[in-house]
Amino acid sequence: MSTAIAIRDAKVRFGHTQALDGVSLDVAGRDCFGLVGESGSGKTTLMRTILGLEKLSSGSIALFDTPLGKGGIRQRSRLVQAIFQDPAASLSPRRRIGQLLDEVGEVLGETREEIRARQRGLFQRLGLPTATLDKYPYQVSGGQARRVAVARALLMRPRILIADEPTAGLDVSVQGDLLNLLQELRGDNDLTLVVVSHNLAVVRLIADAAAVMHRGKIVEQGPAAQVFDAPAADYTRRLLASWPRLRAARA
Amino acid sequence: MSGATITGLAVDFATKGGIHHAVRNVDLHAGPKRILGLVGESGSGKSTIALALMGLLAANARVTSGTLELGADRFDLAQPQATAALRGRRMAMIFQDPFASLNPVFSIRAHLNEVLARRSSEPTGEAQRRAAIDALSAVGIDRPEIRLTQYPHELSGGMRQRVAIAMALLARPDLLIADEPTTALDATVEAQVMKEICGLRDRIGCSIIIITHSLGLVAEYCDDIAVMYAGELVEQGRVAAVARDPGHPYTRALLACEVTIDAPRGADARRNRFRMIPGDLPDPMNLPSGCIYRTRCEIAIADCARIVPPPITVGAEPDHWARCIRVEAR
Repeated sequence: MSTAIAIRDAKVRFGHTQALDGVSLDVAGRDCFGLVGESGSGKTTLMRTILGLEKLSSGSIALFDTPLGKGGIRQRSRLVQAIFQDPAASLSPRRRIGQLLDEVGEVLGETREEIRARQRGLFQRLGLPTATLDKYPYQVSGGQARRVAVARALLMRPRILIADEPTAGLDVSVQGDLLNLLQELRGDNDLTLVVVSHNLAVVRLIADAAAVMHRGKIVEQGPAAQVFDAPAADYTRRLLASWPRLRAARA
Repeated sequence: MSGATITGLAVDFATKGGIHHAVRNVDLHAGPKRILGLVGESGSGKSTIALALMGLLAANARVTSGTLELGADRFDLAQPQATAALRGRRMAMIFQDPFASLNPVFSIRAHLNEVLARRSSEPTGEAQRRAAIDALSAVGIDRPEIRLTQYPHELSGGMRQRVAIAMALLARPDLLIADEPTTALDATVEAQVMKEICGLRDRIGCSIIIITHSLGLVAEYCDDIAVMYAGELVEQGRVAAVARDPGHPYTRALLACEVTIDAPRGADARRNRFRMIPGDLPDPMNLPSGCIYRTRCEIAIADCARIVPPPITVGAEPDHWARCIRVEAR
């Protein structure tokens, strides 16, 4: 299987802060890669850098062997798409959801009919009622807004989908629904998934491989089973130990 | 029975669509020197309960009935300003966003002094400074002398939440309510902050109500648990008893949805699936008859539509009840 994302010694600096301090990792194609760490660890910066939203001060990133920076943003946006943490903030409140999705057709040069047909297909796939297309983002629930963001990302037919904190702000009774959806999408779309989250328990179950970030560095990476169930780094062990457990109360 | 006892609490909201009965018939007991975890999903009414107790409800909300017993005193929550005189003295609250509860133009010392000034014997001068420093060190803040002179924006999120806890410590309340106190914090900081809240319980022996949507947090740190669903309290009991033998189908569903760090994990991550609760919350303007959960319940029978379930004892543990007439079918 090809390498979807290859990162070599990536460094990003904001003023006095070394946000990324020499990060190297490989994400295998069609894998789900989990990126975990606490606030300020650099995981969001790494994600934004992969998307081309932050500039590397040194190092390199390649997506399917295409170095970042080559080909411009249009070409990259067909390779990689993201759903951001706050779906309400990433959907313009002044436009109906249908209008927001029509834009994707303009970017891809598809006709209105083509893009609308794909919208309907995707909505069906994602379990969104077609009436949602006529609504404004504030008129749908948090879980549905998250699905709309997924629909918009997938309309671009990306090969990599990055999900930033996909369950943040969702109730536990509905978060499973979204996670199962991501799991199913992996199956039928030849899609590489990167899940960025502080939720160790979720990443442990959904990811094939994972990396733990701390202060701009990767302190541990490997197969998810190893990282979460037999961690080698002290920091990973501390992080896992602070996660509240349900079993303790049941025992 | 000492501690804090809430009886028959009901809160209405006036909305464009009519009257929304957001909280209905809630009885809640928070024992002394115990932490009660009040759990429920968005819109279940748990924060509304906290704000009703504190007298901080929005202008379109009204407590239609309910009493609060605090020690030997009894307060009618339907009276305006019923608990106003208790705030910052016998009752204190910690909010989710510590930045919002601290005033950006006042130093940390000014915040702590304000609480001390509410005491009947207000300490002054060096005694006042000493009390403030002691409170900060008690909640695990290092170099407290320096922190006193700092302002909220100079502190990290975890540190700000500790200042809020230090303020509660100085108020020495009988009842402390913490609304999602660690939701904005990282797991390692959450663990530290929860440890300080437990320390507060042990040190001043107050009743603490923690509002959260995290069952893991409740299992790890709370003594008792109360579960809210769509404005009603459906189950209460000791944490160990409820976690081991949940009496209400909603509690069971919530526990099943919680993704734990030690959940069984398949070798192929691709095949792992997550639990959820099918169906939607009932329309608040058009609540179902009988049991509030029956429209989503897997074990509902015809009687569930006719009978409003009373609290029914679950198992042999003391003070463990669920509002479910099918409790024996669990």
